Amino acid sequence: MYTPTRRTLMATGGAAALGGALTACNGGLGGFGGGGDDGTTTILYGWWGSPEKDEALFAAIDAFNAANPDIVVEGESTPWEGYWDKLATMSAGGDAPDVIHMSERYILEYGERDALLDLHSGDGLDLSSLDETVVALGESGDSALYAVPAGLNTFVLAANIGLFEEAGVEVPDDTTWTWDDYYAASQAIADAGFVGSNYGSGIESLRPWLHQHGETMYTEDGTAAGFDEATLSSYLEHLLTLREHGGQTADQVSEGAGMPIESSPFANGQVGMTWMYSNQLGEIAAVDDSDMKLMRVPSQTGQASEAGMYYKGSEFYSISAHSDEDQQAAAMRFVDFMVNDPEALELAGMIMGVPPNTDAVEQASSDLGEMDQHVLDFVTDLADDLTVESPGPSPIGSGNIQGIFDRETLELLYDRITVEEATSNIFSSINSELG
Amino acid sequence: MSALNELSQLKLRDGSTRSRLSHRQKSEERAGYAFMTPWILGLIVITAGPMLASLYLSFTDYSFLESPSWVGLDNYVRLLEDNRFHQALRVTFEYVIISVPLQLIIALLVAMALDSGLRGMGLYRSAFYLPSLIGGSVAIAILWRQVFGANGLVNQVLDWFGIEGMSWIAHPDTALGTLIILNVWTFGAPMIIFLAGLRQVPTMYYEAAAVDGASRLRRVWHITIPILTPIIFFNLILQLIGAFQAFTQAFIISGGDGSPSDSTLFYTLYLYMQGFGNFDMGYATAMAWVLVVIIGGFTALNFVASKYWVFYDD
Repeated sequence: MYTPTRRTLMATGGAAALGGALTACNGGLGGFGGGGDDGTTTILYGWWGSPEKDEALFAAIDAFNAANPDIVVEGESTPWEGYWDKLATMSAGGDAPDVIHMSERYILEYGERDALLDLHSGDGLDLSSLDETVVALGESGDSALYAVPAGLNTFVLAANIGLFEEAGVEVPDDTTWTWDDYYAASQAIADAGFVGSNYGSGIESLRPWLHQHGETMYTEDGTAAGFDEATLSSYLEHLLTLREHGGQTADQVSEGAGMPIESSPFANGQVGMTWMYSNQLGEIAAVDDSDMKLMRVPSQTGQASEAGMYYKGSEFYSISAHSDEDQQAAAMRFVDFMVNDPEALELAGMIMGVPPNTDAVEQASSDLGEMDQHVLDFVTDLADDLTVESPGPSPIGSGNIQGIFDRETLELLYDRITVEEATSNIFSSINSELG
Repeated sequence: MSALNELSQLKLRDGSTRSRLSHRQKSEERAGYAFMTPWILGLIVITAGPMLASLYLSFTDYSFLESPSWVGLDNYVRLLEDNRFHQALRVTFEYVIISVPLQLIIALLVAMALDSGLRGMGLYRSAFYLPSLIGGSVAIAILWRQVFGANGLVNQVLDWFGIEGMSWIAHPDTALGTLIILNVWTFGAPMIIFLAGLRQVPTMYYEAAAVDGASRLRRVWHITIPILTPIIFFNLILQLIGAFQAFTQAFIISGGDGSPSDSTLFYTLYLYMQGFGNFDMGYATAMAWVLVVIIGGFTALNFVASKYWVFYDD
């Protein structure tokens, strides 16, 4: 019979203990949040951040926690580049934050895969003061509300007024300007030794261009490109025209790719005009105190109403479908606070776009900073000239389309491919992503 | 190599006694397995289990948020037609085939120089080894962006000679080159292994050769290199496997998407983008398995070829 010696016994016991410890890890790391013993509900709110935005959102969270002692909201900020990878991984593990900061690009990707709560289904979120068209920005085709806009913005040009003055160039009137006026201004800035403009190449600047030609980005059902190859080709020609008139060099475009706007050459005062979302002006203003001005997209005709611009939901609030009921109810109240409470809107300012609850904005607006006021006025004034209906959330599979533009535009600017090649590459890639 | 000898001796002894194990030996065997339990558990739970799961997932359409659904060989068929996948293969092979041999040659040359009895050798050894400790880090990748950027160190040096540089990181033709240089720069790890190998070359061979009037170069070519071949082989396999899986540097330097224009679209980077950016985990796991086959194939090829050039001293 085998009798264990002291030595082997200890070894076996030790190994068993180690094995136990290894498997115990699984049970030990519990999920986040849940109900506390003292009757409070803790929820996690995750967003993509910048220092400016983090400060505003943490302040809003503090205000909410102070007013709602039965709920504890914890905030977590992640830079944009890492945010979506992290959210995807957490969602796969059923461990996504209870309140999820959402982008228009991913509403359907997550919503149609049952990761987001239909906000029409619960109580506690009051949408009565929001315009119907604004609510529709977060709705799927069959009217499930997966996300509520935190703000509206629009893709525009921004001009560095200080740089225009230094170059001795007059700032064009953006309510009447045409593409030729834009090229001329860029050329004049370049003649003074600066860079005239960047390209803003991609979905956001292509859309007004398409609208100006009576076309749309996607077909109604979102399964194909909604425009002609010829129109895309004319857009790419426009990029090359701009390159001849003070546009950035290919090297500058490549180096600036993926760079946050607050450290871009525009924010450093080297570029006269840049394409960006209207709400990004606040982030630039934080690093550069020179005078900045938002400018409308140029048109073919010089008519402001024919510029093809539209309102876009800049950032959204969503609630995880995987949180338990208490947490979803608490999350609803928190989102309601963020959308409707004047104090929250005042703390956030225009950093996430112009808040869609116009009544609450009016109550808050007396204390807006100069730059925030400019953004608010610009976006509000634009309403009179908008003729294009805001598109709904981007179709599933559209997440890669901006990347296609980035690659092909760069090849084009380096003269490694022709306009014809770029057109056919972009066109076929878009259709294969959506199809 | 002495370790190898001991191992084969052990095996011999083991074989001759297997048939008549005493109680004591049996209980020792059991204790041996007991000691291995943590490792075996780890192998099953952390390595083998997930690998089997990923093999299954590679035959499914798995969005990561929904349950996987079986699609058979679809993912593998799609790989054949995916232009970006082909680009990823091109980039990765170019990177491996250029950077690995270059890195090993430099590692060997530096190791020989250090072995020739420099003063302050410990210091040099550490200095050369340092890059391979930090070369894979995010900090170095960011530094690299600066060094090879339009206003970077490289262009400043070129400027002294009146040469106008370019943005090496930004241009699609040169971006991969900067990553190859980064990998070659981390030659410290193979260098240390070469150094250890050089120490084991018996000096009597050199003395005998010197007496016979062999030149320095001949001594290196006919004594050092043949004796080092097992070490060279070991380093080659290790670096090949590492290079095929390169990720961090490309991820940081390219901004996470293989920029500029997919010229740094490494295999693992594309895999990551498909899985985590595109919600296409089934496709990503299929890519992972193709990579396993590629690396396995390359390694097997090397083992076969090694019969013709690796010299074992026993």
